[in-house]
Amino acid sequence: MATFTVSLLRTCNKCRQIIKPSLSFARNTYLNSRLKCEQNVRLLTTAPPPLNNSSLNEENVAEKPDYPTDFEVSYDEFKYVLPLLPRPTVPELPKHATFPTPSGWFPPNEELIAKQTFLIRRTKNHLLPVYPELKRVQVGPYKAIKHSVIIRKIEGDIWALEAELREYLLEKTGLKVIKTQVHEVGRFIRIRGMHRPLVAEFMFERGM
Amino acid sequence: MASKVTEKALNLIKSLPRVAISNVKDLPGTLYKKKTNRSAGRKKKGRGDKGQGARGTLDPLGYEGGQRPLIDAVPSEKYYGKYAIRRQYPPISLLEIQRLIDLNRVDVTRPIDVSSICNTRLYSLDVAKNHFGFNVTEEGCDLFASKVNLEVQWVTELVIAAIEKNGGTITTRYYDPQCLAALFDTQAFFEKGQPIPKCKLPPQDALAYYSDPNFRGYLADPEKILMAREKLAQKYGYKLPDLTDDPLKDLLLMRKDPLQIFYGLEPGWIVNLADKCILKPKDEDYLRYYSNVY
Repeated sequence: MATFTVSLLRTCNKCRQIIKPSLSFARNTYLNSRLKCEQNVRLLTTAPPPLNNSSLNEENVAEKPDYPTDFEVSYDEFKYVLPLLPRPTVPELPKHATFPTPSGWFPPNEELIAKQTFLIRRTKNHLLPVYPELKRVQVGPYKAIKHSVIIRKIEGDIWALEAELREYLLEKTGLKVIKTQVHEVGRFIRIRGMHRPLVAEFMFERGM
Repeated sequence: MASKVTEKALNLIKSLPRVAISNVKDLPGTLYKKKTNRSAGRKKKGRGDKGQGARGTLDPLGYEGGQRPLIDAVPSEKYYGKYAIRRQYPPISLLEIQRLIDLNRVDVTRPIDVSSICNTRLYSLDVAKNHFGFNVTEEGCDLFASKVNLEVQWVTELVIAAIEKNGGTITTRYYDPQCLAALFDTQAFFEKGQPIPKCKLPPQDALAYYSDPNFRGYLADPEKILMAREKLAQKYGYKLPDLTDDPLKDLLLMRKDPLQIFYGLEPGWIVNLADKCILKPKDEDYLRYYSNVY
């Protein structure tokens, strides 16, 4: 019953009169009263009606602003914010006197690279584009994880690289077979097994 | 004929909403018993034919007919006890920090903290996964060769020794999740235009760690930290570099206030990235809130 009364009672914004429907709930009377006022009719809520036409309102606005606006503006101290923001691009490398650096990083050797028929570029973060990959598979009743290594950013003779790398891995690991996948269009090679350190070693030997 | 008063009262009652059988409702959340058919010839009352179901003698959950139930038979070892509410510290090794420094990803001329590590966009934290900062692991402790002012959330003794051997300083600092969210994505935080939060004190179970001079806690007594530095140098057998005549002394001894989360910026200030300025509210209640611990 209470919800019913609230939904039917309306107030006029200007004269702030409650527009009451008649007891017979005639729709016409409600519409007529609405037309008489010719104002925006809003739902009756607990909030006070908005005051927008009297001269009193302007004074009230001047007395009470929406937010406390008393604050000081400082342009000098913005210098403390600047180093906190992330750099939009990867910064340039610093000039190191000797290589490798303490963390073991060294730049690609261009003399050695010139001798190869293929090229693997470093990533934008100056690291090798060699990534581990993991795939969960169901082999009959068993669940298994297939590990593989992916080499990206390959240029030049991708088949020569694959043959050379496979021989290198066969020799180092002593396995009978090394499974590889060569993607000529996508320019990547996928190798089955967790051979990431060996692949990296191979690439450093060739100056990549 | 009734009087005028009675007539008015009756009219009033007619117009007022009243409790009637049509508008009476149960309280929300009321439970009902299953309705049983009581008509003649009905005997099973909706409970099926015979057995435990009909007689209401079902075994309790987990009862295995007298056999020792699984829950008692298998010993439980609570490695993952209270996993959902534990604080998590994702690892970053000393080798990785050294690599960031070598490739110029972090600025060594400023103190290194959560924000400078996360601003590389190579590491990130997640408040939803209960991350409370970085745990520096010992990998690469022998090759670490930089003089830095490091501020992280969890360390071990060996990590402290590796950094202090090279003349650096280290602090362990607690950040509550709200502050951490501001720290690990500073750009997004400043764009929101919210006031810089004040940092809460560590919870009760972490208070001992963050006020321990042996772990270089930020709430520990500075004099005791100096003593602990010398003690550790003797234990691991290296000479502690003298900080008094160091040209980088100011950098190495830079510390934040326990309530502060950014160097140079105080809690309560608002950063305006569009106009490149800082707004400092002057309201007394506001200032009192942001400068005190409650």
